Amino acid sequence: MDEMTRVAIIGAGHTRFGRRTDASVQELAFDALREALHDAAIESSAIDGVAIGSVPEYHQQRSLSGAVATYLNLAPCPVWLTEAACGSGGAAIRVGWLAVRSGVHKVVAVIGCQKMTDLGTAEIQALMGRVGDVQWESRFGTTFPAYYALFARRHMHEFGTTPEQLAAIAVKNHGYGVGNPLAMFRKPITIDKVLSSPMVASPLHLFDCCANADGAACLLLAEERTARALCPAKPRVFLDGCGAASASMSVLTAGDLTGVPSTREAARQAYEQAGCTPRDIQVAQLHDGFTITELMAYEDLGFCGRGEGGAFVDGRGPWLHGVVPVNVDGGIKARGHPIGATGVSMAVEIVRQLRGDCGDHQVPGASLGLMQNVGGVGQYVFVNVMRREA
Amino acid sequence: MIPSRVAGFEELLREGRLCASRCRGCGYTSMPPRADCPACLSAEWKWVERGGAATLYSFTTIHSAPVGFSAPYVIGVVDLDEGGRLMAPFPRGTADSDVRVGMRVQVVVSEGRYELRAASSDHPI
Repeated sequence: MDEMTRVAIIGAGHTRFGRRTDASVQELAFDALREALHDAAIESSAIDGVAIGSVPEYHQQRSLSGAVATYLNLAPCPVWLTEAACGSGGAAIRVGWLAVRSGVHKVVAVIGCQKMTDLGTAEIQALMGRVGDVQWESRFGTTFPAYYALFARRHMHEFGTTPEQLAAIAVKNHGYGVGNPLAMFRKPITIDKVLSSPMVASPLHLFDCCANADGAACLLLAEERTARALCPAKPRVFLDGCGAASASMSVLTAGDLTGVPSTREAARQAYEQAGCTPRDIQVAQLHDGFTITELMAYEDLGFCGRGEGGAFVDGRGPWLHGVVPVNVDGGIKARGHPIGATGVSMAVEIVRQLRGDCGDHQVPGASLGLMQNVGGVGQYVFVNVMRREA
Repeated sequence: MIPSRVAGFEELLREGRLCASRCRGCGYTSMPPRADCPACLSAEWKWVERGGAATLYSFTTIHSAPVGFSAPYVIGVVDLDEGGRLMAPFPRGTADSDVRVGMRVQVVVSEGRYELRAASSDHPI
């Protein structure tokens, strides 16, 4: 470690995800913060900065971060909103990490929050399709599933990846979601069910895609000495690798569509900072907004070789007792995808795994975990490596 | 088309021409066109016409459409023989099974729009 401070995660909170007509976005954020504060056993007065990950277009409320921070009663803390499409939560973690690691802030609350289900599916398809290039792509009626369908089709063409292999990822994640009380969907599915579900954007079926959802998650990041003073008893988890990278937002200038180069770059940074390799990772939360997204992440993160994602699935590499258990809480597929909350949600799950709190889906003895959060088709990627103190 | 320095692309389309941009400073050619050269930063550029022969890089049939579109429709991403990449729709009524990655296609300009057709050397749609 260099002279900059190490960043500890001292608290984690996570609401139930799903159609939350019972609460506003700031109320959901409050639930996540309250749980994180109880988890850390600290007062909110210890917080000296707030980073909020959310995509404001989905909300009636303008200037969302101010509204959320006001409801959380965190004045006079400075507040930032980070927007990075589906990577907004990962972006908020990155901002919190920068704030603490620089030494400027001691304890930062990172809150991912989103309400999506106030909008209809066609409205959301239009909003999400405009994450692509509105000048050269959206004019043809692109949707977000369509973008990943282009990746899936090309991956199938170059590497022989099959619809069954993609479906198996959905089956895995929904299977693990059964045991997650915070998940939107808690029913197991089968390969046949995936392949007979309606096509959304060929070759992706309905069950290759995630669902829009509402929810919030919170992490409390603290400078190492502050963390030791505030929370002397807790098993300590450190955010030792925090990689971030960008790539083209357009499939027209992205070049190869069989992987996500920004995942490779963010992972390189995170592995280097944490002093580890892909082989050291014992549990992972990967961005399964679509089954193909998770499959490409196996390759881009180095869990398997390029083009070998399908074989990695066949060998059950990403299952609970496989090479690297991936999304064993159900992932985005089962949890649902409140886009601003997702990145923070992933980190919360890794923290719980590293503390040994995951019950039936605990990866035995996990002490090093990774999360990867993707915005758009890779225009924003955040890869974090977290380590439990020995 | 949204207001932009390359909005003239649409007028050229109405004349039946498919055009890329070329930097007058360094020759950097871009399709889709762009006014500001990312290589040499020059703002001086010109239109260069493209033939439209291309190979299909990937495609999808969209069944769940955004507001203002009616599904299903097939969208392709093509690599132009003369460089660059475009997204364009196949004609309405094209089936997913009519299309395959790697097929030769033609970007056809008509009535101010561009769409994809199987090249005559490839199987008909």
